[in-house]
Amino acid sequence: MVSSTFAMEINLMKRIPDSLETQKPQQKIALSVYDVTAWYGDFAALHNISMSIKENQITSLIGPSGCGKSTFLRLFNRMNDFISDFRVSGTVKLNGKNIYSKAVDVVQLRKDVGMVFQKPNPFPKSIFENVAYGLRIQGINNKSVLEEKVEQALKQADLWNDVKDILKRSALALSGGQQQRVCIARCLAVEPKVILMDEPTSALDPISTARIEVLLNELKDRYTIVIVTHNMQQAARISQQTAFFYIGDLIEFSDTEKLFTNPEEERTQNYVTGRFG
Amino acid sequence: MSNLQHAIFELKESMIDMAHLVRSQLLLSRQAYLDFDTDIAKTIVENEKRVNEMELANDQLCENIIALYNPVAIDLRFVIAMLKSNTDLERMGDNVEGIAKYIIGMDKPFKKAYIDAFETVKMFDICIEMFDNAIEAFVLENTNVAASLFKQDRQLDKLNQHATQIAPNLLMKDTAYSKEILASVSIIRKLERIGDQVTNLAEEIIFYLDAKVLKHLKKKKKFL
Ligand SMILES: Nc1ncnc2c1ncn2[C@@H]1O[C@H](COP(=O)(O)OP(=O)(O)OP(=O)(O)O)[C@@H](O)[C@H]1O
Ligand SMILES: [Mg+2]
Repeated sequence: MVSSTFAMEINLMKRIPDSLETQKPQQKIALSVYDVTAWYGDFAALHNISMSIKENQITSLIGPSGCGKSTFLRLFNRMNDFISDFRVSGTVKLNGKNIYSKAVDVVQLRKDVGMVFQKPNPFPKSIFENVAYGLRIQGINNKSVLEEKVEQALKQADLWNDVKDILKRSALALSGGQQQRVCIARCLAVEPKVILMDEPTSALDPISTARIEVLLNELKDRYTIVIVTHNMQQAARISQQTAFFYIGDLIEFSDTEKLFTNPEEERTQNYVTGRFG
Repeated sequence: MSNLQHAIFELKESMIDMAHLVRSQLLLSRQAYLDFDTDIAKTIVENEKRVNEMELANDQLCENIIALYNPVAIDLRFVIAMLKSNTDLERMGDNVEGIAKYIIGMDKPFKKAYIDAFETVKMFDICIEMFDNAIEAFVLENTNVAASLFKQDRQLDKLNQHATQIAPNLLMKDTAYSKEILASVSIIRKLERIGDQVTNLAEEIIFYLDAKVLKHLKKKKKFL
């Protein structure tokens, strides 16, 4: 849309002087994607995507239904591998290591890269066992270690005070927002590096949503969070960077403030202002 | 058209209405000045109430859009630009009213020779032309038209300086007309302020259309 010299002029004239921005400490890259194309059979759901996701911040993925957000998100924990005719080309790296190389232990990868889904999906077990689940898979069975880790995860998930006296009760008896926080605690208990979230609040009421948003804001200091959301205001509220996908293409990826005040691309502008999509 | 687009359209129309009202006030003030017509000047003072009402109404429209629709990108910039432009238009209205009040306060007409010496008519005409450009730029969403009026603003600044320079001499020579001379200088100051405010309108139009911020840049021409 704009020539590069023109874009440079715009940079010169931004309200925030560049000197302020460069004062931010350099952030490390947690996840990097280079020239990734992903197919379901013959259908390419993602086309030549390249992007770098920074550590300890929230990155939002937005775009109309079917544009490939979930497919993209699932690249990072190789969840797409469960789909029989799924194929991927290009490189996906976690902390500099190619996660699609033969040497990768997928079980370890899924411990490092946790996932929280749209519908809260606690197992039909007690709250305690839900949170301890991943720990037990890792072979941790020492009662006091489990208790300590479960308590820690529930505290981090802002759920401890709600459930500390009812840990043996079924997780299914909790409210939707509480169930989602159980799922977050389950994910946190194994101390992942990255948390992937696919529309984690779309089934929740505004108050539970707000609580989870506050929680995410706290968690980002320890974890790298990538979140798919259809709620653009949510992306604007919680994330530092936002990527806009459209029919399998990454159209624009920039600081969230920029994307919502002055996007480079007309298609981004049309989408975020609700002119289509 | 989405509900947000509707609301934005409504705000735009209302802003255009207000701009036209302030513009007609400016035209009236030119006439009141040239014809020394205190009735017209009183009409201006009367109309100023409507300008104030429209300012409140436009503020309300902006607030509603922000509260109800969470505008982003160009829509957000538009609402921000309108909030500021609304204030500018209201202040322009105040300045025109100020001109009218000077005319009402006058005992006798301005001397033709001084009107010429101060180039007041030229200043009125430049202001009106700048205002027309701003309205056109806004209606047509044309940043080139908006940018065209920066040059005229510098002309106004020069005329204002010129008036300030020649006034002391005239005041000493013609004490019988000191009140009129001082009023002329004040009117010229108001016109110069109006020029600044029209310039603000143009800057806001460019901000919302192109996301370029021209405020506080000394050499605006270079960036356009
Ligand atoms: N298992 C699958 N088999 C075949 N095609 C699939 C499969 N999963 C997704 N797709 C297709 O890939 C494209 C991207 O789907 P994806 O679920 O990643 O989109 P999305 O952006 O997450 O959409 P939504 O916002 O509706 O969740 C769509 O065209 C979809 O139909
Ligand atoms: Mg999806």
